[in-house]
Amino acid sequence: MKWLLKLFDAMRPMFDEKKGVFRLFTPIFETAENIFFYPADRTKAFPHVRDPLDLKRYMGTVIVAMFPCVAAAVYYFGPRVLAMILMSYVVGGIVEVSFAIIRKGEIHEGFFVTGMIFPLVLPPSTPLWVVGVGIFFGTFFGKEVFGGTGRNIFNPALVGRIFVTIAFPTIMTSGWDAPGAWRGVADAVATATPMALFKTQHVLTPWFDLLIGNTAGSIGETFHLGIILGGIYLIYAKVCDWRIPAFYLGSVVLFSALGSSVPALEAKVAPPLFQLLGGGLLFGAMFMATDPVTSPSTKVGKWLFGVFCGLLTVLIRSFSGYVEGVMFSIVIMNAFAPLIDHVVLAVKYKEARTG
Amino acid sequence: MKTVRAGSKSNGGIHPAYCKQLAADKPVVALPLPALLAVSMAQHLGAPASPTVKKGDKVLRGQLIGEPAGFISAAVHAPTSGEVKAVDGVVTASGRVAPAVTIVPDGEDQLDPACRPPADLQALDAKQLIGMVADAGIVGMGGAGFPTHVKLSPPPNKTIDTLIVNGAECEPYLTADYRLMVESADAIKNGIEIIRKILGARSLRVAIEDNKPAAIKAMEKVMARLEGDVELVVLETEYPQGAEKQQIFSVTGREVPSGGLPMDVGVLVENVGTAAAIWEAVSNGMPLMDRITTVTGTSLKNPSNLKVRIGTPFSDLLSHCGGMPPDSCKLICGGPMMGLALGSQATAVSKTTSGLLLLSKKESVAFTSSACISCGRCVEACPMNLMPNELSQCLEAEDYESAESYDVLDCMECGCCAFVCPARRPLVQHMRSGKAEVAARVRERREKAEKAK
Repeated sequence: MKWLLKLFDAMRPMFDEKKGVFRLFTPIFETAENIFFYPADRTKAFPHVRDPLDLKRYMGTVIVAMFPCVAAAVYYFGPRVLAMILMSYVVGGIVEVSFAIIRKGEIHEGFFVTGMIFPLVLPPSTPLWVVGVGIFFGTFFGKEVFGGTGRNIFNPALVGRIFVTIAFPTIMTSGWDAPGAWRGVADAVATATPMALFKTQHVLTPWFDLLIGNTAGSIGETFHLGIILGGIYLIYAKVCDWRIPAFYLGSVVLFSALGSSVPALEAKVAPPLFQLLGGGLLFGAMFMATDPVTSPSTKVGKWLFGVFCGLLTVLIRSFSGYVEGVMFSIVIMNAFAPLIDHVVLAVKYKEARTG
Repeated sequence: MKTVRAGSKSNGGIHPAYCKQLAADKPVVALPLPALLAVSMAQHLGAPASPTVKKGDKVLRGQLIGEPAGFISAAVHAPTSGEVKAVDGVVTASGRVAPAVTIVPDGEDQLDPACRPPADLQALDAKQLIGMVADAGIVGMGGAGFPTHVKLSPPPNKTIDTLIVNGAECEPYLTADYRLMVESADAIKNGIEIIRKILGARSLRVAIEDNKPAAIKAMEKVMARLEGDVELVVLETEYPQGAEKQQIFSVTGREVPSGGLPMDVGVLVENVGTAAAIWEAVSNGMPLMDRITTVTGTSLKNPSNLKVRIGTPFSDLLSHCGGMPPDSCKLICGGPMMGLALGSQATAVSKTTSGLLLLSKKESVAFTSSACISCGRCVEACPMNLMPNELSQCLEAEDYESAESYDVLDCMECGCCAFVCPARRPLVQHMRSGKAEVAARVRERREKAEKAK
């Protein structure tokens, strides 16, 4: 790696922020250097030692946790999945880099997670140009206009997903590839998702198929076993807080158990286990609701956020025209996250003052 | 006397790499007399002492060279005999300029005849003992440097029922207190008894983290003879168990109120080094002239625990330990969590210098800072139950009103939040500037209210 370090050192003057020939592209140089090394400057003030978990590793851990889902997606839906991920990274990367150059700031690590999550929540047959349009919209309007990673209100991947759902309804709901269809091992080329099967025909897919991902669905959401493993890894690595997924899933179980036990609602509300494994719930609860930027940062706020996400998910899934409710409920709760934190803090500090 | 495990532990806290093995087994050695000593008049909290000598004066070891200037201040003594070369401003470790007396040692190390043991140690009463502590210029040696005689004289309306002796040494790398407990447990125990006599405190607790079994054993042995309600409390190893409020909670379960002092809950905390210094002052009449300092770092050739005279330049300590390796990046006075990066090796050892740490470029943290991603890790880590993320964003926006309502003044700058922050935000620096601004506003408000009366 020495030669690389030397190369960076040699190129540094050219990318100097004030005097360099290529000063316009300083952010790209810095990011490239950050991928391999750390910046040359050192902190001057205490604490002089830090936890090795910085943003780079933080985001890296999330991506590693999604690997099982990606691998399963390639197995079930074919190498086309990789082309979609690549498309997402290229278009999202161009937006991110352009903004970094305009802002004369750095390229935020958060983009690496958004660029990965977005294709994973799309149907396997989504045309590549739709992937490009979606990630462009999500990164541009979901994140950059707010000021970049850390300042955005809504999860950028979900903003992109909702945009393409509403803008291209026919493309997004027409065909769901059957798992293995690309290798010719499935009976049919296209089929319905488990949630749709329940909603339209009241058919419950066997739970084992749901667990190993042998169903139709968005690219990354079907292999539930992998999502569970990835989620455990994230919680164990203390990258995501256990409260949001625990309260989110818990509240879905609670409300769906309540709903499905009422005879009048039995046909509308799916039973708890099916709710957990039937759609994008686990993926959403583990990888999207836990996005630190768009979820509350107080402990009480986190469980409130989880509970309301769960309630909304069950309501939308059961009583709306949409089959799936995870993305809408998370985005709706994203909007409330700052308010939740505000209320929690106001209560906490008022208690401290008066009591 | 009995040994117990701490019953409670405050929230938050972190587990950095302790790196104490570098110097833990190195017995304390005395550093040879340096060629020059720069004794600062500002080694304690409060007003700097005012120099009592001038250029050209001859001084003896233990002679008073700075007298306390105010209620919260402490005396300063010459660490060796020699000639005063200069009395002028010198940069301290914290970066401010304070008067200092520079002494060229004559090599005789002649003791001031005034420094002698008392005629009858047992006959001394609390008031006389406090006087001796004040005359010896003893300050809190754990780091803050609060004048000990002031701490030992609580106002009459406060009763202290529990004395906690702090041997936690939770800062990574440092082993000065550890070596002191292993090697000089007797001096600590005797010092503790003096403090008990001064305070009349009913209970005594000695608190040590469980990563120091040898220190626990040594202290157990000497404390076995102590009578009354005496306990050695073994704390779970965690930073900052040595912080005053956290330790009081761990040991007694009592919570010091926001803005309050330990004496508000009937507790007084003294560092083990302070206890040993008190014994030295009372039994031998020796003022505080030297201390144990850990000189350490993974790149350092020979990490050591040194007994050094106050005023010794850091360069002397480093050359004794094998000099500064070429890849050195940072020289830190104190530990890595709360220590101060030094601008010069010429800075001198003070009464509160518990360590000198050398970090190589590889070990020191890259200077990057990005927007808060609200991950909440700082909230989990804060031992004071604050919200560093909210606070730092308030302070960046100069919203001091909100910062005050979120209790910014409770922050003790332990650095746990910045340690865990993945965005590498300078949280402690935000807090420090915010605390200064909020404290100024509170003061202004109080003055206004008083005027209105």
